[in-house]
Amino acid sequence: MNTTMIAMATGVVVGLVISAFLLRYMNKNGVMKTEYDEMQQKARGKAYKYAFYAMMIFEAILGILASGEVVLPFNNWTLHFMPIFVGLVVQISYCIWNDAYIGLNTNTGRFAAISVVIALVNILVAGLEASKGNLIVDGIFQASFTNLIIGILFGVIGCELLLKKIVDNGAKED
Amino acid sequence: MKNLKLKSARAGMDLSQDDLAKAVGVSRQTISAIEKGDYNPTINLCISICKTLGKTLDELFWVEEA
Repeated sequence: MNTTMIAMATGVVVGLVISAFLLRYMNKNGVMKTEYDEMQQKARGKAYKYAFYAMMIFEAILGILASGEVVLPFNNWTLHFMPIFVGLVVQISYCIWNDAYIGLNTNTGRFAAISVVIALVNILVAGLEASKGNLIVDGIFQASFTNLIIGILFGVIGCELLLKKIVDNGAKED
Repeated sequence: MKNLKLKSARAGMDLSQDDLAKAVGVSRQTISAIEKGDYNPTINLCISICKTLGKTLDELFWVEEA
């Protein structure tokens, strides 16, 4: 086990702990668990299913490419996170478009603020690494590329939520 | 199939979709989906809606065969 592995593992654990605190702050009743109604739970179940399929397909594609000795311009860390990101995009997008992303006890203002901060921090980290020449080394995207993807992911989530709100307002039946 | 009976019962009590949703503990989108016929609620939710609107299950959710 080298220092990079320890640093990565520590980063993941710290990220999980911070996420737990953010969830408590984000939810109106101060609990970590986001509550969903029955329709949302059903939609989220389907979202997880599709995300799982997407991850499997993407992982299989990566496996086929690897067996064909096709070298992708990503380091190992980034490459292993790709299927996770694909799964996240599928799960989140399905939930957003089926009204199952924002929970019953979610404070939408705080949720939006946290999302913007996460997006900006990650893009900033990626930008700093890029300025130091560490984002791409010898034509290979390095670990900080995941920060860029997370930043973009949160940006995409924001855009999708905004678009969904516009669509909903246009078709409001009350 | 649209649930116009639910919609009219809700409107009859001067409740918005959001008001009814809060009263029965679901999202506004869920009430909207039930009224549009896009979602079939569980019996528990049907009962909650009926109690809130002062109607029976038959009055709100029974569909007569054409």
